[in-house]
Amino acid sequence: MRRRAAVVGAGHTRFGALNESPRELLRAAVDQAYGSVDKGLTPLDIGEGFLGTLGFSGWQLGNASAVLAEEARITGAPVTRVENACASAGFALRSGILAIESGARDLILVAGVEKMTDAPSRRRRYWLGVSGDTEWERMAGLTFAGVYGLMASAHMREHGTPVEALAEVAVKNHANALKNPNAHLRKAISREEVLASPLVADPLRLFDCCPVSDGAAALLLAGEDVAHRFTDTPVLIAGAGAGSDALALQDRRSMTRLAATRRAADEAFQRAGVERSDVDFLEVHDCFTIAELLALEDLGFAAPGGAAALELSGATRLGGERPVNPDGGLKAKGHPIGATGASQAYEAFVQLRGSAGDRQVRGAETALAHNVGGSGASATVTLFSVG
Amino acid sequence: MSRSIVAGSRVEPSGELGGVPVPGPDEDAFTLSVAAIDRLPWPVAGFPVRQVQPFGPFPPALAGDLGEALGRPGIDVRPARPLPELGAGLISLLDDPTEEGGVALVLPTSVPQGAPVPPRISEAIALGFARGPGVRLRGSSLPAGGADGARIDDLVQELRGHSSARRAASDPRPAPAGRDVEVDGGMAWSETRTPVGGRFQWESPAAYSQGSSADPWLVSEGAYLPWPTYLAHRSGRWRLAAAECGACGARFFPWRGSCPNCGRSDRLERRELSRSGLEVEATTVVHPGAQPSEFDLQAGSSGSYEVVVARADPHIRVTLQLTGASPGSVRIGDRVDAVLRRLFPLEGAWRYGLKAIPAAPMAGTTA
Ligand SMILES: [Zn+2]
Repeated sequence: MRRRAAVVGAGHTRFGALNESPRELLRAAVDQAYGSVDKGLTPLDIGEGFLGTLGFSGWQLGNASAVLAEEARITGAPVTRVENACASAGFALRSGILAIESGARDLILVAGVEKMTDAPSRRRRYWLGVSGDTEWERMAGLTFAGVYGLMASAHMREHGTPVEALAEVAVKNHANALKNPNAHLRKAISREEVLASPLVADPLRLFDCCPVSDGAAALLLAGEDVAHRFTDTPVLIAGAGAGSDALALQDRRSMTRLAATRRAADEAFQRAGVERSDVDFLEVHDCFTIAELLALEDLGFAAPGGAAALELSGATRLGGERPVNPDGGLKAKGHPIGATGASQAYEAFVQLRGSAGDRQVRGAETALAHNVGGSGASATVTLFSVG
Repeated sequence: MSRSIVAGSRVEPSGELGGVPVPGPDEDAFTLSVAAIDRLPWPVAGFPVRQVQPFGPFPPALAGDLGEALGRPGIDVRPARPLPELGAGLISLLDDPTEEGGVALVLPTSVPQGAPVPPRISEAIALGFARGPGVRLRGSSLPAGGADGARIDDLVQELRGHSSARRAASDPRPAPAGRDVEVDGGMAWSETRTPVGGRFQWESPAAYSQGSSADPWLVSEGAYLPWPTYLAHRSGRWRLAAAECGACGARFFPWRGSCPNCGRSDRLERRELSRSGLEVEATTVVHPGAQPSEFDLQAGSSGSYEVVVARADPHIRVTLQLTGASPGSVRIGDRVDAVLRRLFPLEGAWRYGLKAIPAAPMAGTTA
């Protein structure tokens, strides 16, 4: 049987407009991850490290992984920066999982970090578009808000998706974030407020968009055969999948479905040997509200066009049949680009260990995390289960 | 005997031109000249056009190789020259009894309205006009030219009215004003250039470096399309030229060196897609603050803009910013035409690319 990886520790900084530098954020997340290991851990036992970061605003465009090695005090071990835009940490996590599953490593550090709020506005807008298609989408005047606005318009046209369903995603995720002390936007909002907020990229409004956030998250992975050295309650990575698609929306077969997500989900479920009905809650990539609807459809939890009704039914709320984004999602918890994939895995770790506090999904045994790069050029899906 | 086509397109900085509103902020002498070439009957009946000699306030790097940029093989493009010298050269070309080809002269002038065209150019145009079909410059001192002249007038008028008149009809907003959106007046290209690494760099026109809320001569702060790469692909970019693989039949866009379907590179053929009547499949209106920083100047002067994804071929879609119509006025299912427009200034040069305008009604159809 395949050797599986397990999460034995995890750390998470607050997300938001923070004073700390990327180095300080990384150190805080890693130290918290170290501290979370029940039986302790010696950093120098870590075999390898993977860092997810876009390097937003150019803070350390090349060789950023060395910063992780320094701040985690593992200098000497190989470290690699993994960059797949907003899915950077999802793919860093995947690299760590593969290293353990292959038997090459026993203990891995995965971290993600982004510092986005301290760049001047123009520079920030420049960087918010760097992961889109440079040759066409960007030259047409699009950043991701615009690209997701296009996708939303096509989805509405194809399925009659109501704006109320988009608003419901924002309302739900804001409500969840109120219960997450690490969340960026801890403010309840109403559907009316969402629908009255200024348009950003029609039909998407301000409250349909995730905030620009700083933050970091870190994970410690071990082979399931050695995990007991670190904790008696590891969280198993049951299966991981990933996929890719054309960079530009115009080059995709469909503008309302993410092929990368579908492929990643199929692979993850197949490898994990679990069914969708086994999943107790989902962490999905909701950089814009429309993205949560697309995710539920592409992950196979709703038929194409069916996610709106699912959201409006309340089934995705905390306490609902299958909660989606109990931590507030990118939408309200915040979206420090390179940290998001690790943050989702952090949520799976604390939830499946029953330590998520006010936002605990009761009895959760299986969780799914879904991380998307850009508008769907890349995606990871990871399934977690109690050890 | 040689014959000539002379297409004149003039851009005024403000006000009206012959009763037609001035072009939008994304039009300039260059885009109008390209449009002029597009509107010419091509190849011009009876002879292949051999020469294009653009001059005037063109971006210098684009003036010298317009033919190549437009994917018109066989066009011999000469560099910009002072008007009288160019006129003299044209006259000698027209007078050459051995000259078998035709001449297309594109004149994007910044001559003030009503002012005479410099004498040698007038002479050349008159000579060319006398020798064959020609298009005279409106407002110039040339004779009207009888029936041909009327036809030519129509052509120029059509060219000029192509987008502007429609914009005037569909967009109730007042024409944008101010230095940032001046078209020709603000496009005084500095002739001071310095070779840098085998290429040229241009100094910023003073008009843009003063009083503007945002420095349009941005230096890239990260990922972008570098100027040489942009130049290398401009033909396909501006002409919507796809590649068709003769081995497997796949069509793809933009052009790339090998077929993404079968991987072969030996049987690729250039296929210009129609730039008319593309069906819109997705739309969004980008509001100020959501634009990439290259578009700060535009967003600051004219606010929100619409972006559409439109189908150009059963297998090819393109993403285009809408111009010449109010943002939000184009819906999914509508049709648009793709036109060359100025996009944004970066590192001392304007970037040009396709934008979308509401499609012209199809000939022969009625509402
Ligand atoms: Zn082929």
